Amino acid sequence: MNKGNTKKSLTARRQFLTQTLAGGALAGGMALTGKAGAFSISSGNSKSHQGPSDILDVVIIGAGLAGLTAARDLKRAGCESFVVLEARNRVGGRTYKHDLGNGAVSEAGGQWIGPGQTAIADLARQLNIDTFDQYYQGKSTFLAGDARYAEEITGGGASIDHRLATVLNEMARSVPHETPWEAPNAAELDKLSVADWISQQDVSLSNIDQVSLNSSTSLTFGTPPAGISLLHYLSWINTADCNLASLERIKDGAQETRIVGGSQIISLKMAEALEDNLKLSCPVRKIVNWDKDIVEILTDQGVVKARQVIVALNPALCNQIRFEPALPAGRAELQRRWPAHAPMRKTVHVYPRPFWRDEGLNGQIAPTEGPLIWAYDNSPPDGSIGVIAAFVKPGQLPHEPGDAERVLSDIYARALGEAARHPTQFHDHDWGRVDPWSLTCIHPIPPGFWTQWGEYLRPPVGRLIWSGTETSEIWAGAMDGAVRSGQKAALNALQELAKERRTT
Amino acid sequence: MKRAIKGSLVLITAGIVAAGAWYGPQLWAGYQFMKAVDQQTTEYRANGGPWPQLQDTCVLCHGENGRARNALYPELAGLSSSYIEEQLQAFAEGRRKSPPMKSISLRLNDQQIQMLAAYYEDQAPQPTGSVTTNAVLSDQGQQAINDMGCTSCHGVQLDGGPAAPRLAGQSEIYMAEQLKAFRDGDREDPGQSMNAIARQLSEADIKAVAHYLANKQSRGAGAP
Repeated sequence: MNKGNTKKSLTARRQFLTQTLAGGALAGGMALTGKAGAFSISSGNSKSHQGPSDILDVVIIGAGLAGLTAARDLKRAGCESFVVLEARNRVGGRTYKHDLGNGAVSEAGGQWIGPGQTAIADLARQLNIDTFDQYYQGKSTFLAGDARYAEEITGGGASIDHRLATVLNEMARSVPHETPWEAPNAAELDKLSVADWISQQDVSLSNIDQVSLNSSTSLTFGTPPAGISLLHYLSWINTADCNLASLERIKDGAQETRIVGGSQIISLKMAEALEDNLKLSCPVRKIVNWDKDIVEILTDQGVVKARQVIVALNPALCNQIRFEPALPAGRAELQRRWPAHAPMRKTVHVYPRPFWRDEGLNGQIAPTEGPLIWAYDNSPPDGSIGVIAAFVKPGQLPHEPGDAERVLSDIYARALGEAARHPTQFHDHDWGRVDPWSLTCIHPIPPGFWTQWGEYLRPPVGRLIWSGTETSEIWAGAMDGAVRSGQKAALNALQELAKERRTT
Repeated sequence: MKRAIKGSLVLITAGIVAAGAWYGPQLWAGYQFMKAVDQQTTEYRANGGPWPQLQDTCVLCHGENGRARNALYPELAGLSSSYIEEQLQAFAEGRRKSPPMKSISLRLNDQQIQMLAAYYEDQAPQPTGSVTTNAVLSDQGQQAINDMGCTSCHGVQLDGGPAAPRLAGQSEIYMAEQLKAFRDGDREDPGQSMNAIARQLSEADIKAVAHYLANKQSRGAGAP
């Protein structure tokens, strides 16, 4: 198969999958509802089903975007016999917002929707949640040593060295995002880190390209080029329509669109509709008899029994749960080794107005060293207040709020002017330290991982259906992937229940 | 955006070299900026070799050159290579519990572990920033350290030895967390001596010891 065909077939598969997933849950629901008498799913709760009333059809672990989407789709399919168990006292998982007062919010977690991320965009629209453009108009500010330089970047961003990007985009065509380990030359590509590969190229990157590649790879992939498998890197370029620039930039890129009210509102709205089918502050500690007909889930609030379990958690979180009997070796090893070291820390400075816009600046600040990786305009859609949010290096910025705020304010004052020195509010969220219920933002897959453990990522094990953005065939790691994985998990669970009822 | 600086700047720099600074403040700023980047690159190369290096991946949490600036995260600069190697093995085997360090240590091969350990041993430590000194707490911490005989393994100046790490100037909250981990059995010392010592410490002792150590200047502190 030549590369062009591979890409074409991938695109076709994506379209097909998107259509299937978009319509699938509803269609599945109708089918099951139509045969309610035969399947006893739509007739509601477990009480109407033969068997003890304390056994649920489905337990969903995790009330992030994946788990809540799965719950929503189960409900739309007529299944009421389920519960969502959430460890935190809030929903939303890796989406989270700071309330700034007067209805304004800023984002502490995942927040952007880009081209091709249709599942999350469709879901937002269905829930009557609006979106708006990430602000990027004007000059970005760059700092190195004592020097400050401001320049307007076309489309709010640019790619790495054009020659390298062209080569990478071409290579990405034959690395399917869904199964990078099945790429024709997977073994060869998975031996190298992105850093190794760059070192082997004839093109030598300029000093500034090196610095900016470190930053952008840290932001998008969770660690600098030396920590990322080339195979994994290419698979993400693949999901961004084989265009590295589209993965990295704002305009026409994966950072293009924001959600009015903050991305967490999607989860909050889905949770509202679940009412009693959601239990907060209910961490799952142990899963017993996953290989039997009825699985027992041991939580801090007691034992729950179910026929199917949707595990809507990243694999590193799965590794924190004890399984009895032990999981098969391949899956266990995937969880044990799953990268959990990109937790991310984000800060927020609030100002009376987005004053930088008046100066022709877009609020973006990219220093070459120090605690700040990248700051950007995170103001609400109407610009009624000014918000500068930042990705920071967790270990390089003091943890005390006063110190952290001052260190960053000094940098902002240099970049944006003295008005930046006195924010009216400061918020800080170090995901790796706040609680143990995310562990990592995205998954910086190291060399050698996908080709050895990738095949164990998705196949269900006994009654356990693995979900969460990491399992998505498209945009794994993004909010969009979470929604897709939730839709698919609901379909899988309904199918397993239907199968079981046909045979009993 | 993120990687914004990019190609256009490279072109601009080429232009600057040819045209000179009098073409305007924007060009001059660009020239100054690129000069600063070149200077930083030279320092980076002198410190650890040409970009990119494996230690780049440790910077987010442990700081540039292993100097964390956050009391929650440990400083790696100046720790002995044997200690760092042993810790990476302990994370991989689960003797020391940390989900992020576990996944990192499991992906490193022996050669990479040795390379990173040697690199951080060579870096000059610098006390973690923003430590406020409480004299009463410091005295209490010093007393506890004298009573426990910490210097017999960690060195007279608490600068560490082959098997025991440098404590002087180490991050305050991190240090308290580790003492509690030893006490509660979440971290195991191969010889169990740290577990035994930590079990004798009260919460107040742990707080005082961590505070004293974070404020103690270590050898090479402040060195570039």
